[in-house]
Amino acid sequence: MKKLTKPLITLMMTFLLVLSFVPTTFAADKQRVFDNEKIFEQKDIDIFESTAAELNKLFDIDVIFITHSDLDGKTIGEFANDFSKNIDVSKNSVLLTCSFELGKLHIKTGGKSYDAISTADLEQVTDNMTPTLRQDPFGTLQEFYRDIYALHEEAYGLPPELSDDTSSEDTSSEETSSEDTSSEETLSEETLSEDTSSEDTVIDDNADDIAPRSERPHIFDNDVVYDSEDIVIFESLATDMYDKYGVDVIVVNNSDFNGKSAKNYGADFADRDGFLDDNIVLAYSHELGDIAIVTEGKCIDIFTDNDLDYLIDCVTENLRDDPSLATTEFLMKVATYLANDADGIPTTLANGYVTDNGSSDDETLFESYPVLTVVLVIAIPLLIAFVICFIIYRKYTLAGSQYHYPLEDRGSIRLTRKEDIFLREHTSVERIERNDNNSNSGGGSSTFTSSSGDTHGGRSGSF
Amino acid sequence: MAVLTYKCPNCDGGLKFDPVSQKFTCEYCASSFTEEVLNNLNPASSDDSKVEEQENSTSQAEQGNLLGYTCPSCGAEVVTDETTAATSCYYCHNPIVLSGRLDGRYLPNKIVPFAITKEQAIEKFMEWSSKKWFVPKWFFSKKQIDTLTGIYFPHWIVDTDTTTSMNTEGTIVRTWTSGDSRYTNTKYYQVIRDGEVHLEDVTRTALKKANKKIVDGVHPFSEQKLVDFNMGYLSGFQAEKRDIEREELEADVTREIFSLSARLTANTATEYGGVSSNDVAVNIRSTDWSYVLYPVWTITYKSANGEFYYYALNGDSGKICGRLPVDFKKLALLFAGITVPLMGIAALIGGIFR
Repeated sequence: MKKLTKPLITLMMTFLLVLSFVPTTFAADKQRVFDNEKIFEQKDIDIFESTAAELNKLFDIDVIFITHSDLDGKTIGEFANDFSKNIDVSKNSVLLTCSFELGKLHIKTGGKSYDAISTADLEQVTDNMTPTLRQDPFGTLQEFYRDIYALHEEAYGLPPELSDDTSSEDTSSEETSSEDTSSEETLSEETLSEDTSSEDTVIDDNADDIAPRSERPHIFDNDVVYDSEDIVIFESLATDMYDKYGVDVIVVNNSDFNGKSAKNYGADFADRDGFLDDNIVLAYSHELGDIAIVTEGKCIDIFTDNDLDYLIDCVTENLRDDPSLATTEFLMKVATYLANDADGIPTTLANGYVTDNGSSDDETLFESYPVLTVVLVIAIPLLIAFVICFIIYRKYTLAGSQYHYPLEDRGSIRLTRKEDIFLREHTSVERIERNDNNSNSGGGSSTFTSSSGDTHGGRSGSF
Repeated sequence: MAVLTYKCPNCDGGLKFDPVSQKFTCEYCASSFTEEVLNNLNPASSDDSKVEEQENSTSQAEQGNLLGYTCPSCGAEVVTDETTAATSCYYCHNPIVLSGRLDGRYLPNKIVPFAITKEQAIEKFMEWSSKKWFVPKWFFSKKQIDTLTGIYFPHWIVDTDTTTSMNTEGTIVRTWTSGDSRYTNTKYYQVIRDGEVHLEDVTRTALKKANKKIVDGVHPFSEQKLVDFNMGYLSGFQAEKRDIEREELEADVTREIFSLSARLTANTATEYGGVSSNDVAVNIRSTDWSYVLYPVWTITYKSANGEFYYYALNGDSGKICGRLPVDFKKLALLFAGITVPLMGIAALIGGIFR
């Protein structure tokens, strides 16, 4: 083995050298969702994180959401207090803690959020959540974020630039609703020009304070399917992409497409004056049941046909039942594509090749790959090679093995006495238990009979 | 101590045992002689004996465990260690048998003569080692291969007769099902067995200095090939005298005899549950210890850092065992040859290169 030591050390050094090139930690956005119970899918968590980030942007608050199965044996209040001490959370915060396993829920507020949300409001938010949290956790959480948004908006209002947007959106909505629906597109154009002027004014007035913004709104809710707060969030996301990537991400819905196909309608919409040449448009009509995603400029290169089909599949899944959710997914996924494109990472979400990893400016090539994967790519070949070489080495150093003579087989015995004397006998009886379908000891759930006489399965508990 | 060299009656050349013909041959005149003829050259019939014998030829220059002898052919001093019983003169290469080391209580009872010649052993060695890619080239050098030596290693083999007695309770269990009930019937018997056990060839190595792995690795040796010992079989080979006496091995061998006898007896009542070899009493009636020599071809090499490598081949069956040096440069190349392509494939699969 002494001889083996030197090459082994050399190999280990090489291994460590290679590992040293692998980034071990990657920059990440601030985490505000801690789903320890694994209740939600990653895409849901991404939406929550995005919403929490937007709330932070709008009101400078941290909305933290935690799930935990056993709360480490503490009361839920104690757990929330202890947990908040171990994470990066500002004093202006809303801390929502849930244990789906124990059926517990707790909301704690601090700083600005404490001032914004009264005890009665807090009870109302809790009451809104408890009936549906177990059946529809995602929808309930969305409702929670909307409540938090509404309460803070009521207490502090929106930042000036967003207030103007909202007012112009509201105006456009009002105008749309008061006008003939057949002239929606015209109305939208009018709304756009009003928005543009108001936007310009805001930018001029706050040139030193606010980031550069798109000159036009991006969300055209002619069918009035979104809440005003949804539109604010969507606009914020679209504006963010405009600022970061120079791409207009447009969402437009209408009851009809003036006789055009959804694709042509979206394309014509994007061609209007004022939009950038690099854009992507989601156009859909609830009434017609048509949807199209149209790209232009560099977006044609970024999004392949497969990608667009994938995005349409994602959007249509929830578009009729929950258009806000569908639109959020669309904007989030587009943001992922644009972020990866900006970093030179080809993205094909459709093939599950790269997961949705947000749009941090600090992303690197390796950020798209788990550290474990990179390590395994290096470690597994090294391990295989080491095992093969070690087996060879052992074969060379210990060839042959000790032989054991079959002495027992070669030995012989001659019996001089052989007696088998019967002593006694004992017989025992054991009852065999059969599976009874009506008992609870077998598979499946226990059953009960309802008043109508039907048989039902089920369990009950408390939340 | 007597130092013997078997001489050809025709030309006075040294006689060696030939594994192929199982006769004694002269390298010089190509004569060959049977064991019977060789026995007639016994030093006891000394008048026309061609066996050269020198009594008390041990050198005065005895140092430590090394002893010096005078070669009967050329008069040169041959130095051996204390267990060497046969060797060859380093100068005239004539075979020498140190008969004094193998007489009296050290006279072997049986021997398995070499059946594989040196040439055959080398051929087998080359064939085996040609498949060993990671052995350094120097190991295959002619100088190295020429050191292949045929050595007789001493062993003890024991035949024994024992009486055994077993008186214990055994059970026969039968189960069956009827309706919703499972029935278990257990019958209890007094199981009595008395027997006479005969065991053969319980084998132990009788040389401390031998690398146990060398000898154990080339077992088994066929007891059917054992023949009565004759000093002539050692001519042309090296031989070792035992340095482990039967008293040192008796406890271990007795333990094995007890265990084997008990198992053989218990196995006569396998139809009963609850019967084990622990229930058997064993009494040894007789043991017959035989001192035998087994043939092994070996190469032993001491590396620069003092490590020993060896190759051994059963001189009768041809079974091979060995500890070989490894060329770490070749091994490192193999390591790289496996690692780099695998990393490439893994990286491609993982999508590192895109």
